[in-house]
Amino acid sequence: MLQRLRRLRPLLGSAALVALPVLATAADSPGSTPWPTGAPPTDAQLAALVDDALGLLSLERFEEFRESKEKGEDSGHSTVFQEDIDAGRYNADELFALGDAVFGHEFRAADGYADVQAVVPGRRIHDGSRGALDTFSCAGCHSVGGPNGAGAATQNAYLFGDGSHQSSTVIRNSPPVLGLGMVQALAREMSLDLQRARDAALDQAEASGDSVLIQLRTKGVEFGTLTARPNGSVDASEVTGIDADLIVKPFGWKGQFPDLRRAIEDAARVHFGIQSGPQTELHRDGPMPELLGDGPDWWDPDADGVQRELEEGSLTATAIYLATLEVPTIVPPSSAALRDRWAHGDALFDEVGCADCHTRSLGLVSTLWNEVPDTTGAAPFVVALFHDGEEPKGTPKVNLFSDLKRHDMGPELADPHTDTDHPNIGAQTWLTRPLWGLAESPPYLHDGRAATIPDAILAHGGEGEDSRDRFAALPASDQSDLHVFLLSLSRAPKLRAPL
Amino acid sequence: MRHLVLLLAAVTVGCATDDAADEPLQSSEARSFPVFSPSRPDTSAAQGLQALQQDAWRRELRFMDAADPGFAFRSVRPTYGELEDRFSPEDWFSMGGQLFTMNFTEAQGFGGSDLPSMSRFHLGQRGGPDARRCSACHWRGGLAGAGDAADNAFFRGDGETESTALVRNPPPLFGAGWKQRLGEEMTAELQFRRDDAIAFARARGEDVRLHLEVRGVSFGFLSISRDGTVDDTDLEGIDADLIVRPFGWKGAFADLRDVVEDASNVHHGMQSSWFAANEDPARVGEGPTNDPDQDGVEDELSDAQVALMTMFAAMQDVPVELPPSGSGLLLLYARGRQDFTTLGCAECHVPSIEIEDAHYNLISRTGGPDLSINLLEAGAQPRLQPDVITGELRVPLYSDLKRHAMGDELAEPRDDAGVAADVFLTTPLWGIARSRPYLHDGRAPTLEDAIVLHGGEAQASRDAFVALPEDDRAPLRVFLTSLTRGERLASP
Repeated sequence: MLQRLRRLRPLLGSAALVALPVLATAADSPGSTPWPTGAPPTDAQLAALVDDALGLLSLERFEEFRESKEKGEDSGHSTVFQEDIDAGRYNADELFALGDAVFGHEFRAADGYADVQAVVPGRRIHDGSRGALDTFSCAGCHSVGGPNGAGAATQNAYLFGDGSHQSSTVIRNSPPVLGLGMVQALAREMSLDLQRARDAALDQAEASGDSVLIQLRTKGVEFGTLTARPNGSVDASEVTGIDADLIVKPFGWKGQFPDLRRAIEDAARVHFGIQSGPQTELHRDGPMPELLGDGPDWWDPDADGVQRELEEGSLTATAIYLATLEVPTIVPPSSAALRDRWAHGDALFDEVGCADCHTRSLGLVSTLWNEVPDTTGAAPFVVALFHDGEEPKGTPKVNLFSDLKRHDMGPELADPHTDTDHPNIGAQTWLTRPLWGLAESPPYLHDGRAATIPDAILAHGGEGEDSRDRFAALPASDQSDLHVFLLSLSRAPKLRAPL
Repeated sequence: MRHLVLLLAAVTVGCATDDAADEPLQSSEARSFPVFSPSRPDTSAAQGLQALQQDAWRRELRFMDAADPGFAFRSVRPTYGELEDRFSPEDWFSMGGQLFTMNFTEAQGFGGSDLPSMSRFHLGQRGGPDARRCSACHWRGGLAGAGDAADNAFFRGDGETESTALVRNPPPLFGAGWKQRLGEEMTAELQFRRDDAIAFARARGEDVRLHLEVRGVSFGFLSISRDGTVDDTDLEGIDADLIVRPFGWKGAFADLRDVVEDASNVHHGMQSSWFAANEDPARVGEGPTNDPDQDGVEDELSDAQVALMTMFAAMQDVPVELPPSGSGLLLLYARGRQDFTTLGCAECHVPSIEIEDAHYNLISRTGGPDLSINLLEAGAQPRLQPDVITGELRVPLYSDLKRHAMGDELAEPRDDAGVAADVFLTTPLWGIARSRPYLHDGRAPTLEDAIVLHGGEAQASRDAFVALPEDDRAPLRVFLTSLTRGERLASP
């Protein structure tokens, strides 16, 4: 199933938040539509939105008939070879469309689904690091709030279990996958900053013969301190919220994945049993049976007779697609009375201390992203983050509402055991969730336990406890105002013919 | 431009809200907002505008609910009398849709004190809870659609172990009102014929062997003795009470209201007042009848709210058959339509069944007004159309609403509620292109996979399909892909 036309146009531009006219509507004068901008769409805006929705519908119908006529057509569509990307055979728009095809593709036995060549019932409780068979497509669990959205509680994944019992697992709610190109690029710039600081400290220590203590700080976010010793070693025991490698890993609830390639590869493997070409090559050089299986041939570790189940080029296309999807936007209320409460909630967000970790924005220096292939050694495909793909794009001041840092969130939110693949990350340690798009991605928290935003706030502990207590101590109407503000963190209105 | 302005005015004036908002609040705070509508404007532009207006209301209502906690729930909690006095079928649809898409909270009664906060695998008949709202699992193909494989429900397990549960993929609600009506008419006819035969046997003093065939579907035979006793050994695909139960993978429910109440209870721990007072404690909990799940919330779903959700389901649009464009595909489609019959698919997936009365009636159990709508006029668009020449009305369900043995491959680990492990109701195929994945546990990602997994009574048809060379299988797949849902723009 397709998710996207290349440029599905939103009703609001990315500048929606700026200087919105305060018009009396909706609640003030019953009967009239509470348009978020105070006015209905123009003819041209409406026509463009309708065209996009109908265009996608007709393309989807064309594709589904083609697949029904020629079985496997859809699989062919979602297979991309890295060599073709390296040779410049695709432009950014084409890679976006191919990535969309992968995201919506329902993987099946012939694609390497599972580890047998047959149609088999799904399985939800993951078997250690090997995973389970949760569903058939990425879109299956990323649909709440629109395409590429979040997952409902039913779509939670039950990871690192015994293959049978719910209580043996750690539970993860599928997060929305919008704006990830900006997040990935921010993380890369932050990692480079931190590593440059470390390398400079090492140089200085070597030159001076004395240990050098530095504050780790990038884009205004503090990551503790680090000591560089003259012998070239590093004491990272005072580094906070990041691994000792100083790589900011912005993806996954616990901040496990540095980039989209690795996040996509892991998701396809554990949710569908679809194994990537690059990871299989790594398995050849250093076997990883616990991740991929112990089949006799390195090129088919799950021994289902299908090799390179996810081609490297498909991985690249999907990474570029996810990097250039729409960015969440702020859509305030329509009525003047609610606007006032929204503005008050906006101020409370800082006063309560939410913004200490849910940093409102991080500034992006470069607007280009290099998508580097894993194995071919070819030049990267250069993505223009504010040009390629979908609108809205936002600005280089990325309003993600996260510091991209890990924090201790207290025992109430702890996993029942540590994440088997990342034992170094504590059971109660989580990456600050970006809050953009929050209103469209219930339920909340890593396991989807919170139905509402206030419930999620009240479940904060650990480093979030002081702010939580300040929120809990607010008068009810102030709590409501903050809730109103948080509900404006949304997605731009678009049209779609449901598929 | 002028055209659009006029259109805009028309749509705005047409909003059901206008009237409701001007009315003073009566005994409840219920209000209808135009968040969902059964009507579908004729042009794409008008549809798009309607969808954006509904999205604007959805957003504003969410803010209003945050500013005044509980506002959204109260606005869809009318008294039963108000359903008729203050609200129209259009309102029922919108208010029911709001309940269908609402994330239920603990304050509203979500869950139960005798249940975990969430559980993927149900604990016996008590359920999970496993979802916050109906639309979490009924979304594919649009509002009130089907569920993804990830949305499967795991029924009647031990609350912890995957293999103990019965796995069911959420079915779409397309045309649900028509399904119920068809079941009711078939039931009435079957029971009438039985009663008639009993009276005949008694009056004549003769044994009677009655062939129960209604609307072209055979449910086997009843042997009736001259003393009026009935031997149902040769009944096929239906319970001894001769009630056609069109809902649930195994044909468990005859009435949408029962479906709504059961699903709300097991998936959300939201217990209707009626359910709480009248159901077995094994299903609702051991507490007192006003709060059997002992979570401190009484009347979690009022009788009127159950009625709204029932009407929302009953008014769902009817799927359409939309052939492909392009002569090559059209030829395949036409051939596939014939293959559907020649291969034997149509023997159980009966393409259409005649129906007499298009009125959907919801009879109050508590002395409130009975609610009635004509699905031909008030149902969501697209609606069913009578034959232009004969005036005959047929429901293009592609099902016989009968249970069949489907073979060992599809059998569940055990019998369920008196229905054998390998027995399932014929799945209606209308809208099938928009309700992936397929089969009761969603194991089949494609239609062909689903066909090939048929066994039991369908073995011969399945074998006939599998015996075809690849090129000859394509027409049937193309035809099935044309069974889809009518186009309707929405803001996701």
